[in-house]
Amino acid sequence: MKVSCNGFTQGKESMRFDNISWYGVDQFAPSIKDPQALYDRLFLSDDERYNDHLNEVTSLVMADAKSLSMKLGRNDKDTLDAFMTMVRDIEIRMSRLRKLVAEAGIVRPTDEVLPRGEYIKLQCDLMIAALQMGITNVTTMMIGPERWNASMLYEGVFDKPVVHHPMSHSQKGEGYAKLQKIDLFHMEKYAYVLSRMKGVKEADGTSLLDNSIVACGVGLGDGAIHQYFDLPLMLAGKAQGTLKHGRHLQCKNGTPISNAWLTIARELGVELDRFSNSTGTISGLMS
Amino acid sequence: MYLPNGLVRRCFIPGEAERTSPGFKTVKGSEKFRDNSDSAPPGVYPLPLTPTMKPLSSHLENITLITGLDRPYKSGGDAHEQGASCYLSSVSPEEASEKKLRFLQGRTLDHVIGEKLGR
Repeated sequence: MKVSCNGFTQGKESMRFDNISWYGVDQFAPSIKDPQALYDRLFLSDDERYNDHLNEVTSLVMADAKSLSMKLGRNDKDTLDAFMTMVRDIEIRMSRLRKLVAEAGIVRPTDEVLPRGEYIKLQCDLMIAALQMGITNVTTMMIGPERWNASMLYEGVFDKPVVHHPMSHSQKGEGYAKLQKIDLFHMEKYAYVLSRMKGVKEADGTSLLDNSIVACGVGLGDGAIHQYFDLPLMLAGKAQGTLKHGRHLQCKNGTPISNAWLTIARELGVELDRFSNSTGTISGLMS
Repeated sequence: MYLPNGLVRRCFIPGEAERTSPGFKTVKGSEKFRDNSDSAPPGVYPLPLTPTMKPLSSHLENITLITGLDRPYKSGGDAHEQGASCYLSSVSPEEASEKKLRFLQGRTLDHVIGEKLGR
């Protein structure tokens, strides 16, 4: 499943700027940008037959859940309650974001009023719901588009919408401190995903995070110089106990990032000799 | 999870607090920056809580930070465009040359893994 947080419907840049998932050469796997579209994908409500009953479906499911919950033990009841509350909460937040955009009363770009924190967290919650429900086992999430040069509202960080990309080229003086606020804003969302996944309990008592690998990385290092080398990458999650964490692994110069991708693929049980220009796996990652 | 437009290295990467940004340079110009790299020697270090990592403080025991990773770059295309579209690509520079591809862009890691794990 492919998710992104680029609320702009105008095609300011090509699809290569906001898609990291591709079926093949020039065959992009379109990311889902709209929370409603993602919700519809999860709950099959893009089906016209479902649309007729859209407003009733959740209420019916909630009613079913209520009657089911009376037959369950305490732990199962808590799990079901937590899941139903999560779904209902997502619906309320989607409705709130829709209302904000509808009431903004501006022509273009309407999505500038979208508070990115709420938007990103909603997309993350829907992505986690897809994993939790077993709809997908592999997801990508773009927390924002490359370049784009559209102003976006980082609520709680800046009073007015700002444009991320030019800020990355204006790091001199105090410019870097302003830019770092966006980095922190993004890091909070990564932390949010990890916390949420840690809270999703599997049948055997482990968490979704214990059974996953959650990578967080950048295609450019220092944005000011379009640095494509010496990139950082964070990996979280235990992959069912095979990964050892709490460490900083400094690779030797020239280590291809594809070594990290090969490592992840193998950890997940995919038998590959090589991935892109990989020269091996990242040593020191396994316990 | 992909973060766009890079990040402020000195606030995020351990040991780079004193490093300043060299200002805007083209991709070619950034090679000079590479020559002056002052990264720590290769090895395994404890994970410190750098200023930008602060929101992750309660997750540090669950995270590994890997640094020093290079992404293949093909001259002629936009750096941001390649950053996103080639980030997870399975296409190697040799394969791109053979097939005369404009970018090193092709089937991505998520699909390669998805084939095996399902969905």
